[in-house]
Amino acid sequence: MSDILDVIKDRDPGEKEFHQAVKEVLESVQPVLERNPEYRQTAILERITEPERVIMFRVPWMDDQGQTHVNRGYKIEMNSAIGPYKGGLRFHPSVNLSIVKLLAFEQVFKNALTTLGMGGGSGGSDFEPKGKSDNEVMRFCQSFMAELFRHIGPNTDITGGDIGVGAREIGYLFGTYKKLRNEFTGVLTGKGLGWGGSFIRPEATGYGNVYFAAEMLDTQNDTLEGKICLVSGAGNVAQFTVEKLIELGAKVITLSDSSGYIYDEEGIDQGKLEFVRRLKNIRRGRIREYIDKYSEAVYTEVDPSLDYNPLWNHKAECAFPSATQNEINEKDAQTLVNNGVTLVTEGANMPSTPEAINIFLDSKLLYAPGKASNAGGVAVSGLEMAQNSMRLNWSREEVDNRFKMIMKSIHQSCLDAAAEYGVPGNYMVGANIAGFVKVVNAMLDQGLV
Amino acid sequence: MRQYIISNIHTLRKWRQKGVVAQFKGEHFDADTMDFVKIGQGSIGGKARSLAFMSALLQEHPEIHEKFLEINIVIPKTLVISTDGFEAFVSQNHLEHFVREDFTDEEVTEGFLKADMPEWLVSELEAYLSQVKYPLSVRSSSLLEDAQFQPYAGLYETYMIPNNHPDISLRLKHLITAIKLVYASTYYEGPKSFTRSILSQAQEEAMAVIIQQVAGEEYGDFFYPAGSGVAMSHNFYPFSHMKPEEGIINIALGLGKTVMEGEKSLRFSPKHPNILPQFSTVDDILANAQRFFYALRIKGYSDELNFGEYSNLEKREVDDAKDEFPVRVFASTYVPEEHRIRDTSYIPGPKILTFAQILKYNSLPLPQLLCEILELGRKGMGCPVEVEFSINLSSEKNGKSDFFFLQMRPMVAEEERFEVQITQKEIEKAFCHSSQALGNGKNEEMADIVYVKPHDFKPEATMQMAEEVGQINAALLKDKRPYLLVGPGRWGSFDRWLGIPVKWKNISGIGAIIELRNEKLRSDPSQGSHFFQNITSLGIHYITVTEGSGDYFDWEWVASLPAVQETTFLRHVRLEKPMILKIDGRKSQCVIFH
Repeated sequence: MSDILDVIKDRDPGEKEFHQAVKEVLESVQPVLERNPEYRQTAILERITEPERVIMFRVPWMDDQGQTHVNRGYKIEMNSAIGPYKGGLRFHPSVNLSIVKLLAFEQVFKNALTTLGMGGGSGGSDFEPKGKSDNEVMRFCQSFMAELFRHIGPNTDITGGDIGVGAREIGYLFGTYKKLRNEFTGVLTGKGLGWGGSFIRPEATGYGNVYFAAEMLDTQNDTLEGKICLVSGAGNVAQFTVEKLIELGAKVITLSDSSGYIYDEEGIDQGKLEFVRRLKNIRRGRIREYIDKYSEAVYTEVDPSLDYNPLWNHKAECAFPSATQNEINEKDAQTLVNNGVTLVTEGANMPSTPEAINIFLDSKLLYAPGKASNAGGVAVSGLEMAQNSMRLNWSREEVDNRFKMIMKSIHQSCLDAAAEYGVPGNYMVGANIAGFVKVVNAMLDQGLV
Repeated sequence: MRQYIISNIHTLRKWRQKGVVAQFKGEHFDADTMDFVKIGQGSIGGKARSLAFMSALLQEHPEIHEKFLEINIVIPKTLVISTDGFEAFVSQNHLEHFVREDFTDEEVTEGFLKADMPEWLVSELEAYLSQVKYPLSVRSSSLLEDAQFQPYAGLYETYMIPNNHPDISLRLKHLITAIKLVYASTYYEGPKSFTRSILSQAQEEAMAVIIQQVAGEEYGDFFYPAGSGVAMSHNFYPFSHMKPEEGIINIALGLGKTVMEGEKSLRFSPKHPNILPQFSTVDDILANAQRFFYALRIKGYSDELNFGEYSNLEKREVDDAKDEFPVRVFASTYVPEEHRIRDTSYIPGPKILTFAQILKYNSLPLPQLLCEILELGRKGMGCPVEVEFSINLSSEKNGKSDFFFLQMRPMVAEEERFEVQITQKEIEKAFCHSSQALGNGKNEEMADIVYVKPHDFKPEATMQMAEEVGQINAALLKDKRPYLLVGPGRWGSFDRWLGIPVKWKNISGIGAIIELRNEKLRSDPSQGSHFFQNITSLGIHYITVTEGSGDYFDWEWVASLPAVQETTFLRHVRLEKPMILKIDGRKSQCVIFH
């Protein structure tokens, strides 16, 4: 493995972000590489780390003052072994070739894990949307698409949003693509609901997280019904996690934000969740206001001097970290285990520290890493593409049902991969391996292309 | 024909009264035509004089009215009680002893409320109220303000009264109470110590009182203007195409207290109203949009009113007023299913105050008018100015909206805030010098420096550094010790390879921040864009130091100081006395020395 890393470093010495990503992925699939010597013989690592196509282009645009600016555009078509390239576009001053390659490389495995037929790609520009007027952003997007349109298509390369590319930018990009190609196709995801977008986008991560948890419990002939759950966060992911947990009969007793957390022994029901929604989404208030309305709950302020998070120190059976990175450390993980928690699924990005993950794995509780349990966002993009291809708009319920099936498939492929590699029930290993194996096997099948 | 002649005579009388401060005489007072009157022969104080000046300025520049035909540009109807009133009140009730320092603000208030208003003044006020039945603001017009040293946030309270009760005696009682409270504020600790600081000794101050029509409209149980704000000739945080001399505006829904108190309002450049760095993404807009506003309750209030908290104003949630006309006009709607904000309030969903109709779609040429007003003020006063204003929107299709000119003062009045001079001597003794600094003024409150150790910095460890910063910040915040934070790259960057990806909560206790550009991280300076809302609203100094150019930070010196705390990547040192940080916002130059 170090050979291939050296080759990559020698070939592209300045791309430290990309090197790091390759190193992490290759380390995580080490058991696969050891077991499959044919991968080495067919130079699969050399091939998978080299993009199928790298496109760099000039993006000239004019600001509101009539001054001309030139940015650089990127499109990395990393891997199309299992489907057309699919990935996000990022507009941010930090974007460079190394970062876009990193994003495209990681996307290959994220997409493969969803079990949908999506390859991996990424794109972007070093354009800074911050401080630009709507018209400036529009002119930039139009110029960007004036080159990109010839490289993408609904059966070739589909792009979505990322940092700096939201609904506004997707709209401008799509409009230009449509005009230049004279066709209305699903070449971009994240579109408005009235023109090809899909339902369940905001709900995806939260719902997906709970569906994954339900599947994990199902392997032990258990359900979420009546389970006491700890949920951290109070944003989008946490809200939809709680909503689905309530729907499936679980009892959620905590929520948090950056200032503190609430503990409601009686459980957060639909009415209380509505209050939290209004509080956080409309009034943009603090979670402590929950106790003004529901006096039976207890609010605990964040104490920065503590080396643990007291939210995790309540008797419960399931934990859904949905707030932020590193919110569960070694001590918190031990507390959860000691308190009898049997399931942890991650809704946030990397909420558990490596030490905490080791404790979960050692204690044999059901632990779902974020890369598997919060793959919902990517899956909904896949469903948007499917609807666009069929010229259909599914109802919320229909999207939700299909989404649930995808989460079930993701769970099954993680479970299968873990079992196949001798660590049954280890979703961490399963998630790392499942997507990788699917892609490299497809590459082998398709020969040297 | 008769009506036509009467109407023209009326308009002429009104026009001739503009720019004139007439003497109030109960029997001759005509509230309809007399816009600016005074009671008494004494001084009318600095604030009132500036109102009179503005009134005259508008009269002398009819072209501004002609240019903005869709807007009435006016000064709210004003009555000033000159210093005679204060002097008579104080001497008649023997209140002079309150100037002594051993009285609390509460004791002063109690003493003043118990005292009687002179009979002659009461009868003049009664005559005034017999014609005036709209909400009033009552505030000071201090003689000290002539010195033009006082910050606009004000040392003295402003009280608002609904003045719409059918019983005139109750309205009179409210007005007199408000006047007594304004008088009492002269002897509060804040103004007294301020007087001492500029005059070296406390002295008795005479005060005039401005009683002014509150700009606004009635919406249900409340009364408020559609928007209020402050326009300044100089922008210390220029961003993108903005130039410092193009000025800056802060605007908020409702009464001006939101802007004055530094609560969430919208900051925009009148020349570039489309450029809003704090509103760059949907998440930014949701986080930074105004959530509360102030309104005067004009129905269902108690006979005693509530002169305590918020001076009779109520703090309301924007969402509670979603059906009221100003919110309908100024708000956009968040569509959660698409994570998008649409610039209309006429669709279902949470309402978000973006002022898009004005800033993006020019439905009212407010930015252009504010450019003109700032220019007019600059020429009139011969220096950069600050202007307080309010606006009312017309709900009729071709109706005129109102722009109320509430106050104008020179920015140089706040010498420390504006005219910072950096000498060659200070540059020579500085441990930090920058030619790319945002903000303006002097900071002498920081004695702590937290810096990323230059030799231990590793680009791949920035996330760990963010955590360490957060821990040190929490301790310093607890001790109420603002500090100077120094580190390489873009603070708060999304991309951990370009800087330390702190969140605001990790650095919330800072007094100033330095982003270094050097060999290790030569990313483009962020100019605080990640925390733009916080930095501009709190006036935090944001300094970019490009090492190897004329800028520098003295690493040797800082390393020689004993550490209070040292972590893997950070070092926290403390000076015996606070350091002095100076930024000359006109040149973007900064020095820090001790």
